Amino acid sequence: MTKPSVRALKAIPLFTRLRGDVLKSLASQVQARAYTNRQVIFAEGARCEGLYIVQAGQVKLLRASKDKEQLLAIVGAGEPLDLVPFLDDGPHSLTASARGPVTLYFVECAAARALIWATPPLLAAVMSSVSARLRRLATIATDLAFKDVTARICRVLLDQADAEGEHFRGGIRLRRTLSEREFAAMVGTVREVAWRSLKKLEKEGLVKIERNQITLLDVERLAALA
Amino acid sequence: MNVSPDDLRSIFLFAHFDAAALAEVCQAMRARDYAARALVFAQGEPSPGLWFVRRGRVRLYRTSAAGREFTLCIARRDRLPCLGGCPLIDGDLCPVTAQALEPATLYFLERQRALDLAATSASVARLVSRVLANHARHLTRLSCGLALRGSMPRLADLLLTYADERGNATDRGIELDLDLSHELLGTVLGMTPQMIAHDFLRLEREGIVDARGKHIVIRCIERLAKMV
Repeated sequence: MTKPSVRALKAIPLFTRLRGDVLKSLASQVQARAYTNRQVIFAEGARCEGLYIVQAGQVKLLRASKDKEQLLAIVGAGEPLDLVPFLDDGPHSLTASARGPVTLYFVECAAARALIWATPPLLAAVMSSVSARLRRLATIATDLAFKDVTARICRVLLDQADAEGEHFRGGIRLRRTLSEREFAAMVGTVREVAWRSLKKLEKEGLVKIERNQITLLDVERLAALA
Repeated sequence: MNVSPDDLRSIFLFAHFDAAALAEVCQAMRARDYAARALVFAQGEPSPGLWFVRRGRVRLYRTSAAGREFTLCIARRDRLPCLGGCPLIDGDLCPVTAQALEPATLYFLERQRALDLAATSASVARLVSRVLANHARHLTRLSCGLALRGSMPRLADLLLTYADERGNATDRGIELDLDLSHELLGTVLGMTPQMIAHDFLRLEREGIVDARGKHIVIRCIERLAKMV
């Protein structure tokens, strides 16, 4: 696979503030790596091999326990996978798994660490990204503690509507890009419970579930439940 | 109140600072005392800086619209001692409320001073990055515990942590004293006090634990570990 151009790297949010010469040096160290659907890129607790940034496709960031998993995020092009090990030299804090075919930019760990700590704007961007993750994690944990499954489902649907919903007169249309299992893992429950709650919302006229899409029919009531 | 280098070094985040770096931070810091239940800062307020717990425990929590509280972390000198990491980096509002659980002493570093020090001192930059990483790891574990485990495994996990940290092996088992009321324990585990009481009762009926108020005897730690 070909190495990325300086321009391609500059378009990645983590690298936007880097100078041209730093980007040029970085470009020479970046490898492109391809992964197949469901391939584990790294596992929680594993030694950090390097810095991973999504070039194309999607990656699931999750934690698993026994036969259950919690989907913490799905990251796409331009987003880093796990920056925490670069701040404390520790192992990976979560598992990353390819969602469909994925290509990643990869920089070997020692080189990435040296670059981050020698480049203040990059260190600031890494800290900022981890800080954003902290806020998101605090909200996920609080939602799990305070809210029931139905409320958490409403929150996931509304977040999805914000990010990629198609507004029309009758509501907001969402493409069903998550499998039932992924949707449940995002909500923090098992598939059967998530599905039952979703059907209950449909029965109450708040959503309409179809094979390829979910339509939010009453956003105000969904927001009140979330 | 001024902060002495020896006092500051007793907080593990500063243990590897050299004398010059430590002196520079000490000069910028002020010690503040808080009474039990006093608020250090409140969720939704602008954050004036960083705090480090020197003495006592500080609870970081969020309150739901219905008034329920959920404790995201209990900060103390030897565990997650730094408060205010997120707002320091992103300049946004405090994501949680911080309240002293008992009389506490915190070392305070004003935000701009902290940012200046992080920009000029590699030790301080390392410290801030470590604080963010520690909290990210803690919150990842916490949210997964809530999502993937029922109430009993969460309680069992907490009892095992207490056993590790403060348990005494006696002929009855491992004895320990909880330093949290059932109500507070509920806010830590995302459970109601009734659920806590119910789970303790179950552990007692199964002969795994004896609970007399805050005094706990873990009679069979292997069986407790299997519940996690």
